[in-house]
Amino acid sequence: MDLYRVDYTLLGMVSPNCMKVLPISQNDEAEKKPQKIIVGDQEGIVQMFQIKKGKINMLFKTLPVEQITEVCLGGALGTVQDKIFLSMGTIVRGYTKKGRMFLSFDTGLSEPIKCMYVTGNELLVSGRHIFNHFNDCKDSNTYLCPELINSIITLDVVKMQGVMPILACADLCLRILESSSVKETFYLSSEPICLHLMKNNGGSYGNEVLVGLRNGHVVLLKIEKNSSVNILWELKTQSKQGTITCIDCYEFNGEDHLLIGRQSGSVEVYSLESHCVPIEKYKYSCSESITSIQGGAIRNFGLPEIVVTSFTGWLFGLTFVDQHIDKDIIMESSNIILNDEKQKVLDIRTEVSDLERQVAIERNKYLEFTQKSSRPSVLPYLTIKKTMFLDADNLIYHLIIELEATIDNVLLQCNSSINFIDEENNNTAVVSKSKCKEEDDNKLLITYRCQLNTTKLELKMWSHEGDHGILTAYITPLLQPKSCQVCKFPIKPLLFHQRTNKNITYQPQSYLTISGGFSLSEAHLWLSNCLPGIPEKPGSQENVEYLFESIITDMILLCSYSRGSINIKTDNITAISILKDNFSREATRKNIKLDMVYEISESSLMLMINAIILKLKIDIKNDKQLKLISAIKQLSVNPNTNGESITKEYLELISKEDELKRQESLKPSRMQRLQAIMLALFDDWHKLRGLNMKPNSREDLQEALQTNNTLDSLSSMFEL
Amino acid sequence: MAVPLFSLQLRHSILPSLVTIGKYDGSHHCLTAATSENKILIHSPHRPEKDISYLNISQKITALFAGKAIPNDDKDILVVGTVGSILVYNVDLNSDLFYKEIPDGVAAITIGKLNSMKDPSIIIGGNCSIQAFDYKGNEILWTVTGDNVRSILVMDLDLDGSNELLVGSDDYEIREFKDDIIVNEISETSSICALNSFSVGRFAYALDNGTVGVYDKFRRVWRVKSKSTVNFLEKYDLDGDGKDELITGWSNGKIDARNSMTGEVIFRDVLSTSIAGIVIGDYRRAGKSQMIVVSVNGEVRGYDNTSLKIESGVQTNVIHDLLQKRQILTAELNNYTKASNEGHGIPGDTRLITEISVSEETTEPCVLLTLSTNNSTILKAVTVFAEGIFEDETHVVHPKRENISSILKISLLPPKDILLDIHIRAFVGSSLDNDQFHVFELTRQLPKFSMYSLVIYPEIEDIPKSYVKFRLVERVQRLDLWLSQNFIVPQKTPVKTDGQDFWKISIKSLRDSTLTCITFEREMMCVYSVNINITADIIQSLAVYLNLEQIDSSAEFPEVLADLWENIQTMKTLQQNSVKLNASIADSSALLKNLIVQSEDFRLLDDMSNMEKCLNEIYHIDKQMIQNHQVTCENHEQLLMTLKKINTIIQNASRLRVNNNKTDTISIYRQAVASENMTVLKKLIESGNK
Repeated sequence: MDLYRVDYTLLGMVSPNCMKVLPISQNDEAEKKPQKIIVGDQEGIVQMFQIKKGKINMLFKTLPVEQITEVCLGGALGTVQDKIFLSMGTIVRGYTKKGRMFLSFDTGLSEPIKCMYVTGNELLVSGRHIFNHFNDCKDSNTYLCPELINSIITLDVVKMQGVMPILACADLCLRILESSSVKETFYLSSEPICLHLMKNNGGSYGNEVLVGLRNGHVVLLKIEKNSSVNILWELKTQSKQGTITCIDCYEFNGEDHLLIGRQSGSVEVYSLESHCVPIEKYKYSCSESITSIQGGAIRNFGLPEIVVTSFTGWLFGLTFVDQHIDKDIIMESSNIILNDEKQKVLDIRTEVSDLERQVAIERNKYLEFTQKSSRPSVLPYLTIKKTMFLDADNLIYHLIIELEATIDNVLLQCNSSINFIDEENNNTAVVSKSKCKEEDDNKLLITYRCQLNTTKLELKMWSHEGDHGILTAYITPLLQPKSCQVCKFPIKPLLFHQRTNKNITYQPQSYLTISGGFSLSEAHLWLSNCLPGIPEKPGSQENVEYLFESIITDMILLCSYSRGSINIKTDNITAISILKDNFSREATRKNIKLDMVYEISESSLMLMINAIILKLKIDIKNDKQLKLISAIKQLSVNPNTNGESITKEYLELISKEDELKRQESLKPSRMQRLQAIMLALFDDWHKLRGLNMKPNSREDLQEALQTNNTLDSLSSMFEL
Repeated sequence: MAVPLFSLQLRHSILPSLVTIGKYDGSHHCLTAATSENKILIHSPHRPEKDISYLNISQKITALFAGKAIPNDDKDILVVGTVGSILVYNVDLNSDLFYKEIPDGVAAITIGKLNSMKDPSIIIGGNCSIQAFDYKGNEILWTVTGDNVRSILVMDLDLDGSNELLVGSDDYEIREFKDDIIVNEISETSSICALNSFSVGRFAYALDNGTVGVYDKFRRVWRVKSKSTVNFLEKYDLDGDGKDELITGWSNGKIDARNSMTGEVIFRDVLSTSIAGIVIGDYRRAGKSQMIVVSVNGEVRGYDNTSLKIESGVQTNVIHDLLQKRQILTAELNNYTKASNEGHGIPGDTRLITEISVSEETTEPCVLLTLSTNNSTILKAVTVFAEGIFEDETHVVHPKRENISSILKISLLPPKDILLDIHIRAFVGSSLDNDQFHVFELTRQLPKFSMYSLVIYPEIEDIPKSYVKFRLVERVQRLDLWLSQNFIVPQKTPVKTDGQDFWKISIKSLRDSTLTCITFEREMMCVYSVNINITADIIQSLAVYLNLEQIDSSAEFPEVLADLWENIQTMKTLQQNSVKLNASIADSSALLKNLIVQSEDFRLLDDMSNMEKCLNEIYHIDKQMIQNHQVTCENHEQLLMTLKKINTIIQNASRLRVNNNKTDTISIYRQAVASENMTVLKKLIESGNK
């Protein structure tokens, strides 16, 4: 069902989870006042307001200090949780709902606070890697996480009889801490982005936690006192619905509901139970990513509403029109403008015309400046949210660029070749590919001319493994004076590998060992230049190990390194070749002498060939069938007119068309990519083995890769 | 999302744009479409017992139109255009009105009353040609136009009470014909794939590059561009306000309705596949018309004003827009007030200097656009937006790190001689690794003849022999002005003139480096060139610039004449070939049928060896037929090319002079070509009349 949107205001830029709805106090309940909203924005302004007759009624507002990164509500356990805590820089501040600051506490963290969680007198904060737990503002536990921390939370302190911090980490796992060390590491199918307690309190035992994942799934976990973790359910949605950015639980009409906000701009309301997978009830989509979501009666007392903030700072409410009295108001408002609203419009109008005047004055000043002065002009930077992440289900990368102002156009340039998948639904921008001149060292030049009011550009892309490049985006907002900002994305050579934590007993048969006079951090840098998902700093000081899995061929790649040595173990011969080339290039640049030892075994080759063929066969079959279908459909024998003249087999085929097409679009160009991988394998095998190819064998292989019949005899084309 | 009134499945794949609707019995609307099996499907919902009927068409269907063509008859007739013929069919009586071979092919059909004609005629457009027939099949008009016709529209554009003919073609032009004469031309930026008329002199157009727009007479009111392409244009009063909206069916399955005055979208919906067509008719016998949308997979949906969702929050939109405006203004204000003078900015007085010149030094002669800054700032990248000269709309230059400097050269190669607006966007910064660049935006114009360089007037023997001559009384200064407006003139112009009555220039084409010399001496204008096309262009351009209503010129183009002759001969051979090939295909298919029956007989008789022989033979004949088919296709392709060449030559020859009876001569040309009368043709090219 649809939700009905009401725009309240346009705030400045607000970081994720920096808008909260205050719980109903007893006073308010007596006076039947709607709930209050608290927002901390990126300039450092904290403001609390109430919606009165559709207008913002400011209750308090502080002066700007520093970017607020998280807002939490707390209070003594067992009382109304209406104390406001916010983090800025390394400082945590506390405000009462009257706007009085009662706490300003410097955590002394060596990085700015990224995540914060408050319950009772426990304060949990984390930067990118450091986690700290304070009890009554006294430092009690610290933990240095080797991976990036995305979110932190603790289970119900009372019910669990103690603090049990949970860290959502970038290496696809949750780390459950006990005092200052990891007690349990629990791996998930995708990167956890946000954590939220089930029904806001952790469920009846206080030990259930909701996890929102990068691939758009939501998982409900039950964590026992001994840190053992069970998955109660996993809500699986199509990956195109987008990463989860915020979660809240909200009870209305006597039922619990799960509120989800996504990066794609979609807001979903699900029914919520511990023992069964949620069912979608309402849905709304906006064009920007959602930054925070809350439930509350903020407009009228007792009228449930979903309060949402989006990337550029819109604060809007979503109501369930169908069920509530609002219906009448809405019907009216299309014809008669309500008086309150009229006043609101007038107010904003005056504000806008004041601004227009001011802008005109400043514009002239600037124009004068450009006429005379030769002093440099530097324009203020706009906030850009850029994400590039791997979608393992569809074997592609998502590139999302979101800007605080409307985008006029985006120019993408890359020195390695990338294929973009043009999809209608994601954006309406007009694409234009430009020819690349050889001498300019470009492989890709694309411009996207955005339609009016676009603040987000979502793209999908893939490339062949092996190329090392940098994708540069020049983003020009629709603002005077015109300027553009540059974003760079590394295209790593083994970009279709993903960190994994599978327990493998199997040992790959081929290896590459490198030794030389390089430091641990150099080895770390070299590896992270080739493989995605490696944290900024090496996990430990001695021997570091990472395990990767190729999402296309499913081959395992094991790398371990320490000072002066790197060990790679894999059956993926191409990966060995790519890593070898990259390492030697990096070493040469730094003038480090390397000793390289490698062994590639025949069994690795066979494993690779079989893995590729297995998938290639499916794709070739699908491709052939689709071609056949389109040919059959051209015949004047139509299944509906005279079906008897066409065999049953073909009729079935035609009825399968949509399914086949869907499968093909799910893994775009996989057939071509597998064929390219096989050819690369062929080249690398001969190169690394120092063998000469049979004349014309590469052409023969290329030919053989086109049809299923010839695939089985493929291995004979390799020189052994 | 809108709520359709009804939806149904035709269960056939429908070819894009080949959808129409007609009242074949005079009262009931029948949806008509071409299917991917090359059949015409007629859906008549008023006859539930037999609601779908088919028509088999032997050649590939390329155009479809239903309308009233028989005077004093309410019944619509159906016109089917194929790659090589036209069929006019009376669906109600199940009989052909006429059938005609059209070697030029039929790409667009319309039915309407032309000019002052009393009765409607069927007008078709094909390969560079436009033809009109009455309902009996008598040709009443034949003329040529610049390129392949893509869309035709009959409407009263100048509101004088009689209809004009609007023709959109592949050379990006919309031409208005009035009484056989081109009275107006509009240059667009891509092939014109659809046209539709609105009331009082307004018409809508759609281009291959995804542009949709509306013209009021010859002034463009609005246009929008999308990344998908337009498959169909229709008009329908969806919101019931008495004014028609422009309905667009897109290749991505979207349909939208736009206000014809502003282009504002008032309605949109999405179907699962590409839109094949949109028609208007009373499909449910509701007493009023609905808008019927057909998608390529055969899905049919109907809409009317009840499908329009009541916009619930008019007020909210106002607030939304205002808040957004506030945000944009605040951001701009921020830009001014927070702009600092520290850091990696560019000097405030930085200017971008552009220069357009003609360059022959580059590997490929081209128009060279030189951009530079007035100080040490660098040009990181430049995008050039211009329609019709690049593969896509934008060309990007992003030089290699080492080659970045404060000067950047961009070569442009406009494929056609038209006036071009190019929009330049330069990313200027103080150093390479800045993460912010200032964007300079500016627009420049390339003159019509930008792909020609002015060269020193050659010796007599180098002057081309073919020429056009006409009398002209004009001051030399005016010619200088014409030159500077239509060519890229270097600072030192190699114009030979005495400033009075003697003026000579020579231009060299950058495309094929041929020379064209223009001389003006003793009130005589002379254009020497081997290329009849550029000569015609120059004469037309001069006529427009100098306001000449009549140019009676004499011309001599022996090579063009020879070329024409050759082409006529090729055309004849190709046509003969085509007949032969068709006969052979017919033979083969007869043989095949026999063989299949034979092999089936042998199989029943258990005579395996003979059956194998038969099957073998079938295999060979099959292969042969495929080969034959390919030859036929090539042959047809060549035939089209030749016909196009002939039509173009005629078109250019007639453009060597300016007068009001241009198309009269065109019909004379046609007769001469048909009868291969070279003497007449020669005379026609030389003097413009018999």
